[in-house]
Amino acid sequence: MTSLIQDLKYGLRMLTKNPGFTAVAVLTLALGIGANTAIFSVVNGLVFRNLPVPRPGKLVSFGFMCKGNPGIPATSYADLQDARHQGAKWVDLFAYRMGTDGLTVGDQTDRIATSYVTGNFFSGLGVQPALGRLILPSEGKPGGSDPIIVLSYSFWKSRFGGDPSIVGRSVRLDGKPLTVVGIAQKGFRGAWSLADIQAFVPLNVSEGPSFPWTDRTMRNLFVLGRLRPGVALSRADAAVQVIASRLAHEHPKSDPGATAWLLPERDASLTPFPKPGEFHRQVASFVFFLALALLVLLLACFNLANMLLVRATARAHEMAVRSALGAGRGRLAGQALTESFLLAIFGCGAGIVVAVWVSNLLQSIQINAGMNFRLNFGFDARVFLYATCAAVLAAILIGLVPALRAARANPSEVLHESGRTATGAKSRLRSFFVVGQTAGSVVLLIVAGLFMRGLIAVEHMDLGFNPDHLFKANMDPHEAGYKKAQAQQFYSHLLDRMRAIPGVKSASLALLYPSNAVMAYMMPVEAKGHAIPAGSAAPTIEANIVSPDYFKTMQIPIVRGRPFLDSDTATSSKVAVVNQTLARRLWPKDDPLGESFSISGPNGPWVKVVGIARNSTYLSIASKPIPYFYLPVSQNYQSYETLLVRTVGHSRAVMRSAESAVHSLAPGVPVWGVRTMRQTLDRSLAGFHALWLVSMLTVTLGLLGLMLAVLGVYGVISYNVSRRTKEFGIRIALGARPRDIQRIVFRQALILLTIGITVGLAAALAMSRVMAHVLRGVSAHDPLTYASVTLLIAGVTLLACYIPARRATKVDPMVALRYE
Amino acid sequence: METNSQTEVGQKQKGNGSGEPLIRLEALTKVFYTEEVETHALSGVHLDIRKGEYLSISGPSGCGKSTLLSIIGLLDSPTGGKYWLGGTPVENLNLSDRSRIRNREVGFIFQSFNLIGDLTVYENVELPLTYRGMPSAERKKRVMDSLERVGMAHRVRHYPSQLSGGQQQRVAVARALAGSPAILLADEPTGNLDSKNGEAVMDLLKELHKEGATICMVTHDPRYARNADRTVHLFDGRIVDEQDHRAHVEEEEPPAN
Repeated sequence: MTSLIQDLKYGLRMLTKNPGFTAVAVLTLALGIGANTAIFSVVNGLVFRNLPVPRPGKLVSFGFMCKGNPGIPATSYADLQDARHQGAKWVDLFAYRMGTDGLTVGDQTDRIATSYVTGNFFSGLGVQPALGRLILPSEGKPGGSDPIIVLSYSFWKSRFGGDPSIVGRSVRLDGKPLTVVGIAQKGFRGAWSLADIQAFVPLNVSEGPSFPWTDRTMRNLFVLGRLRPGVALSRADAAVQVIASRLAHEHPKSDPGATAWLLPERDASLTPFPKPGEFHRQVASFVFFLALALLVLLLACFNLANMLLVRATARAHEMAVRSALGAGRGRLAGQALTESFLLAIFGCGAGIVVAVWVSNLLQSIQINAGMNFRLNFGFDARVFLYATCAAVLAAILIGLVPALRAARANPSEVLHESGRTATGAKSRLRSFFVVGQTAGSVVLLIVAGLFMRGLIAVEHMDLGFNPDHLFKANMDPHEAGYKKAQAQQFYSHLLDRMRAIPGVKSASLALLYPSNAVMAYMMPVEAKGHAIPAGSAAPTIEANIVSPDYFKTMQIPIVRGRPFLDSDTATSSKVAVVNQTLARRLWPKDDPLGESFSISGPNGPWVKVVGIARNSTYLSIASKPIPYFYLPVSQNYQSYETLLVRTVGHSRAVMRSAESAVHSLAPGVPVWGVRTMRQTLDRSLAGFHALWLVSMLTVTLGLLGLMLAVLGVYGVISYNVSRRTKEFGIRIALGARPRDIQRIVFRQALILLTIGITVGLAAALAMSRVMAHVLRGVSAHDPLTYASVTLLIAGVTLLACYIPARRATKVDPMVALRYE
Repeated sequence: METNSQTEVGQKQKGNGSGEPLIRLEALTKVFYTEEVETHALSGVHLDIRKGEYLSISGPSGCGKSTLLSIIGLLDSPTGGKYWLGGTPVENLNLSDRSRIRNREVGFIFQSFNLIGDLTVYENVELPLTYRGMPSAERKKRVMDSLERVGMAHRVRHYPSQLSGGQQQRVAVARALAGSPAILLADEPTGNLDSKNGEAVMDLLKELHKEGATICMVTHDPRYARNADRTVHLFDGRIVDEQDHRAHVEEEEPPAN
């Protein structure tokens, strides 16, 4: 213990004695550990954080799918009930879905994220009330009427200031009168950890009496479950598979070839409807970025190890003295390691500060996704443990070689005044570190370059619609209590108003807008005359509900047939426009125009195809062309709509007019998401935002890597110049010209660079298969990126080497010959 | 013929004095190997050092003085031969045991002082005691006693760079004394000092010897060599001559009545 205290005291003294070295070392480690910890905090927040409920490890996610329908594995209420009753011995299943509603208290209406839940939702999760009561297992059933609402703790605090009298008060949700019965426990914000749910209502509040509770094709519920005590996940999973087979047998029309599975709830952290194996693929992409961050830490450690090696060489004599005075090998190594650990502790502390700052920055990013998202990248024990592990790894990496060198101190050196110069082995080790740094930096820069090139390519790719001079606004008159007729009249007047505004080219309505990945409208589609094979379900196809001017407003060409017309009314024959991919898929040999399909089962009613639209981008700009169809608003009423307006010039001035138009037509209707389409794409994770974030992340890591590599090469060349001062003095005395000396210095730098770049290029090429999975719009072998990175790193590094090279030419032979 | 005379010196050494010697070297050799060259630094050295003796080793540069001192101080191990320290064979000890014995039995005084610049005077003197795992209170007493002994107790908080060369060497002597070693090994202790400071350090060693310390000193300077009881001369890794100064002193200075 005494030894440790003395080593710590001495280590601290050494660090404070060399503030420049210490600052550079701590900063280097802070950047390496900080980058790692920040990225891990994101991974932790997105992937590893458990729901704040008792025994979260016992929670499972239930998935249900039918043959021939590879869509979202959501579950119908009828199938849920059967699975719940038949599997009750192994697991208690409960369900929810999410949406947005207008919550009116007094005169004020707020748009809130709502979860519609089965009665056993809270009991299954084990959530307790903070005030009042929660929804009971007896509530939320079909045919029942439970006009109650439970608020989340954070919403209660932020909206009502924690006023306990809210319990028992009447409120309106989308115009429906409900009574607040309680507040959920603090910290609980819904069953999907990424969503920030503000209120919970029983399922029968949203799915009114007319809802087809018994329709097994109406799959709209996300199902979770809690394993019964003593039941293993594998056992319960086997049970639900049997249940699904039974359902497939009993309901061959609606549940053909049904399969079901249970996964750990953690697998539902990124998506509320996970499929087997999906979570691991998602984690793998995070691991890729963590690996890049670890590479930065490795480069930082190489850099520091190099600096510590130089110091170890300078302190070899001190270690020899200590050894001569009786210090054992362990004690000498321990002292060297203590200093490394001290550096790592300080670096870790500063790294955590960097990571907290970066995490807060990332957490504050506004995600344009149509509902409230809660990114919680806060630091918990797991993140601190990760930072600590990174610091320990760094301490070992930077301290191991100096410690081994210290342990090998030769005590007999104290009797000799020489022996202070670096040996060939030491120089080789330093060169190895530099080659490693250069190679790592090349990899990081290539990854950064590829992502940047991908971002540029995606930003310039043909989206299938024109995002310029286009803006959108979202609204839902239902949230202000509007009935269907009122809402339809409101939308009709709104479109007239918009078209009358100067500068507006066209205006239309749509349920969905591009890059809104959270909301999806998916329907099972059966083409007339093309029976679905026995044992298969109709494929679920994504769709949008749009007004007549939609294609004109979005500038999506109708390649054949016609768009929707005002003459397509609620009473006229049902029509649809399909995209090119769906046309090819449903009618590969026939002319799709005039053909019909059903979205309500094999017996119709039938919807006639009147037009074929060019393929476009829909929910996510990164996705490949998917089958898609459009239905007219006039025949498919939706309260929630997106107003899309194409303007002649810049949209901003018209955007204000649009908002004013809504407020003047319907003062109580909330309007949100008023943005240009470019802003929408830029801020949406399903648009360019995710690519932009990833590009910035990789560019930051790449620049860190470049900085460390340049510092590393500069350090080694600089050190070698000072070590060879005498040699240069002799050479100059013998007639060497400055350029001869510079050639010697640059030659060494070029050798290190060439080896480092070659290794780095080879490593990047070896990684290309992995990178191909995460890149968009650019090949993982993009030669321009590889060439640019090579030139960049060579240029910057050689520029940095000019300083020691120039110093070498300035050596005074007389001084140099007296050197040492 | 050198071999014979060296052997005779060796024979004479073994027979000199009474009782078991503190240090006994028998046919000690040390060979340094490099890729192509084999250098015989010591070639069959026989030497006894008795407890309380003050021995000086002299010889030209490269004769093996420092190598001999390294081996006596357990800083290095011999290639061949026997070495007893306090009756214990130590020529084949492992590194850990050598460190331990070095720490307890040997005190070093170096030509270039070898104080650690980042430690205070107190900490420099304390250093070998901490490696011994000595309790703090005892360490403090020993450090202060040693510094008092060399007249440097008033500079405990100073760093070596704040001291003159002579003061640094006195601190180095204090460090060597603090552990109460069996033998003090001094390698050219005045080599980096001016004559005044050199004299002072030599006087200090003389006093320590009078108080019973066993000292083995390498020196070039015949004036300082004469301070010792005995001087052995090395040449090409062999002891080629020996002078007993006590007899000389006794001859020059008849006992006082």
